[in-house]
Amino acid sequence: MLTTIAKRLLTSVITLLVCSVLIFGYRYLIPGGPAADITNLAELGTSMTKAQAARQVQALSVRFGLKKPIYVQYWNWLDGVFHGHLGTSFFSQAPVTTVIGQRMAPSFELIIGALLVSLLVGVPLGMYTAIRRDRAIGRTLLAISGLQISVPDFWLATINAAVFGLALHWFPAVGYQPLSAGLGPNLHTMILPILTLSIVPTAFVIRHLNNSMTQVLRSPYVRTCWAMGLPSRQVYFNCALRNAVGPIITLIPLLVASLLGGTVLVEYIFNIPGLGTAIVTAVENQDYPMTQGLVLLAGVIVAVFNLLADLTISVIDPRVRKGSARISDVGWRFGARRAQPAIGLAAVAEVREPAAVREDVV
Amino acid sequence: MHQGETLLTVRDLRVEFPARGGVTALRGVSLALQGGRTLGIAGESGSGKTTAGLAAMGLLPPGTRVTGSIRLGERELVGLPEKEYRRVRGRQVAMIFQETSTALNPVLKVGDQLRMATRAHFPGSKDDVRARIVAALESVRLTDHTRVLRSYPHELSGGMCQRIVIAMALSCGSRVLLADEPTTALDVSVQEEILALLRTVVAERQLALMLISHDLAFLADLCDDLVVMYKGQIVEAGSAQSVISSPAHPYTRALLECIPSLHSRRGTLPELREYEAPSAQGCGYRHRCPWRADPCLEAPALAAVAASAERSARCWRSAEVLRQSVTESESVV
Amino acid sequence: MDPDHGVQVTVPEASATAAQSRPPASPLMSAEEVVVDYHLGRGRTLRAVDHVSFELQPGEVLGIVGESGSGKSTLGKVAAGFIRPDHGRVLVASDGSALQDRAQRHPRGYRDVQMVFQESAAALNPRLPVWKLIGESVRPDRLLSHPWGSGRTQLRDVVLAQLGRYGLSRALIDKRPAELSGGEKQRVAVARAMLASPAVVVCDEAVSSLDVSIRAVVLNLFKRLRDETGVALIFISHDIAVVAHLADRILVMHNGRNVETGATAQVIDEPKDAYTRQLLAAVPRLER
Repeated sequence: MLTTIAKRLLTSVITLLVCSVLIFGYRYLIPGGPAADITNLAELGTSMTKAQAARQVQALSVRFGLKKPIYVQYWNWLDGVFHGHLGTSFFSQAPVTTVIGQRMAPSFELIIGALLVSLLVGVPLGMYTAIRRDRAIGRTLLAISGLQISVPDFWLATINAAVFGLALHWFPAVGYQPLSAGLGPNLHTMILPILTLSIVPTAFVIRHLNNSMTQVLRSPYVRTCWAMGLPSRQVYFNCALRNAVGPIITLIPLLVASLLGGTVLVEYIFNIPGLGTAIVTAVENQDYPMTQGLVLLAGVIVAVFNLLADLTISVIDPRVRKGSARISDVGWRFGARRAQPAIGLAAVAEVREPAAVREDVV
Repeated sequence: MHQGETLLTVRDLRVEFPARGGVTALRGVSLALQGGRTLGIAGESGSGKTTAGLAAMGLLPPGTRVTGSIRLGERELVGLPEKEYRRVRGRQVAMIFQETSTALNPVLKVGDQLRMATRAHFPGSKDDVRARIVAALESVRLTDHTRVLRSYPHELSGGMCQRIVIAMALSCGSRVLLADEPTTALDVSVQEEILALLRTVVAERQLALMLISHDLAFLADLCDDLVVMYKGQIVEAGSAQSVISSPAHPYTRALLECIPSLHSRRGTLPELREYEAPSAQGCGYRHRCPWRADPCLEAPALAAVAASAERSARCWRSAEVLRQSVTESESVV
Repeated sequence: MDPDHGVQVTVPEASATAAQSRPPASPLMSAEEVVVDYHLGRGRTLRAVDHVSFELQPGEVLGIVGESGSGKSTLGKVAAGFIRPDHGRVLVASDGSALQDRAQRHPRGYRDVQMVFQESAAALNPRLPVWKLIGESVRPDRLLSHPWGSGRTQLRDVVLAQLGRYGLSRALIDKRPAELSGGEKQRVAVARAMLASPAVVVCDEAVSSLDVSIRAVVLNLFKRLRDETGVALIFISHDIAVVAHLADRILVMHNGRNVETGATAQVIDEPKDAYTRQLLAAVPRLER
């Protein structure tokens, strides 16, 4: 078990390192190179001559270490990251970490809130549509979720703000009250954005769970549960859900990643001072340290969720934990002499074993 | 031949699936299960043998039309509401299927699954439940209880998994056991073990066992009585030994003939003619029957053969067929 | 059976002519000390096939019998070329040539050995109609000048003419696998294998999931094909009675090893190995 955790941690670390290289490197891909923003800065509202501007650029380049070789710059940056320095915002001259600290709370509230709503609403509905898939109500709900998936966040946010905020005055259309002002006022401002953001993830959860639940409900072991006279609550929750929930757990990191993107739009519309608006401002102002820092943070969040999801799966599913005791023959013609099952592939093959097939493939 | 008490009686059972354009899976099936005896149901796919088992368990898909009677002791099962059926399943009648290792939940330990099933019918103390489970495991000759209870299904062999499912049925207390192709997915040697196990369990606990299979040799070994089904009807019934040694219905004869035998290896196996949809009138088998004659345009009923109360066949010429079979078996001996 | 029996076949039957032109007693396929290992991770290895050798004469039916875990399916896949053995090799001779390593005769070397699987439902592309499924194995360049238009009609006609030989009704030509019965699907798989003009067909539990009466039909089909076209068969099954019915020689496998080989009559009536005896004893007998 410990080896699984260790291996998985290593993979996450490597992923993040690769990520950091890409994040750091994109700056060099833009026209003008990393010096472009400094050139802009230098020309901001001053009436320098070309020569003076050039000297200013030179001085700033040296100051920001842009003359050193790229890998040294990268190393310095990475070193800074590990020490908690993400650089200084070109725009506000404040350390990036400070800005993140100030704006973190509302964004996290939005993301976690939307994630919780999508799970608390999506899981029961996903189960229900699977259990009642032969009735009209189940099919209708599933169809609705299909429409729900295609709703664009931006559009929905604007509509909600307009209808519930400006027209009906149920919630404020814009604005934000931090938790320090009390839970009531905070929720009053946050409910609409959270619900808006959660619409699409909820639909994803419903459809995914419906899919895996339907499959599980058809499986031989669920039939055994029915044949032994277990009450339906036990069959659905203890027997079926434990098997069906796996794909949802692997879905969560993907939802988080898409929520990170959705946050940007929703915060913008509802005017919430979170990381989303921060990144929009940073991009508009070509504030590279800020952008870099925020993207890196996003990467870390997704990597952490991925790691947690993988570890949760290995806790829930004992087959993944120990590798597989039985072998599936995946050795095909072209050089694949080793029939080494990928983690989970053998497990999936076990679940889908057709009734008439004998147990051996050896 | 010892007459145990009759535990399950099926009378004129008819099952229709209206969803699939009105497919009639069972057309008037009647049989009885007695404690301490094994009834074999032989048939190929489409014969309705599995449907009969599922009907008794109430596990047919919603929307299926079931008419007739299935009596379990005093209780009538046809039309029983789902809530009450749940108390019957497992406790009064249990079913085991062809799938062996996939019949158990892969993410739960075997012990947890046994506990869940037992407690659904015997909600006693932890010790009581454990005692029941251990007794059931003993019956199926799984002596290493602690290890088995702690294992996950994928760590156990197919044969062991099938024993555990049988143990689950026993632990739930049912006296009627329906087994649908329980050993088809297992090796021949394991098949023998499970066969022997079922024989012992039936005798020890005086269970009524209904064994559904397409393998006549397997049924011949274990069953006391045998019923042969074809396209939703019983075409022959009687003691297993007599039906197999001297069949009285052309279909039973054909089935027995087209099984390759180990010691009399013939060149070409006799084949049944290609299947055609049975017409509404007349005997459903006549298109493929080498004994076809004029009376067959009228559907025969399941009638006693040759004044024997123990055997019946659904054929106008069953007496002749029986005579022929007897002559052949005598000439072999 | 369908009256289309005596239709002139336009698909070349290399296997029959090859069988005639080759001098007798020189094998069609030769497996030499085949070893297949499955790596289970963390250094554990499972030896599925342990130094097994066999020879297959042209037109012969070799039966491989064993329980699950015996390695018979793996051996079958090695023979068919799906798995490359870790040690040892499989040599194939066809088109009248001498025994050669299959890879050196690519692509013909791979087409010479065809395979029929247990689950035809899984082996047939559910989206294709029967004529395309069977036509998959007919090489277009051999028959057709253009792959589209008239070429497709020609392919369909060729397949239609062949259906009767496999006991398939002409009405099935455009149907998809979902509309076919188990026996029909399996026969489509056999037709597909045969239309590639193979020298050897490996049948892995080909009749195990069929009804008893359909099983008889398919077994008879195999027998007839062997008699008519001279194709050699490697028939793998756990059911020794079925294998004994069809095979000329039997190879018994246990835990990856070849424990006994010999003529069918010999192995069944006078088994030398203890495991073979055990296997035979475990077969439920019909007392008639």
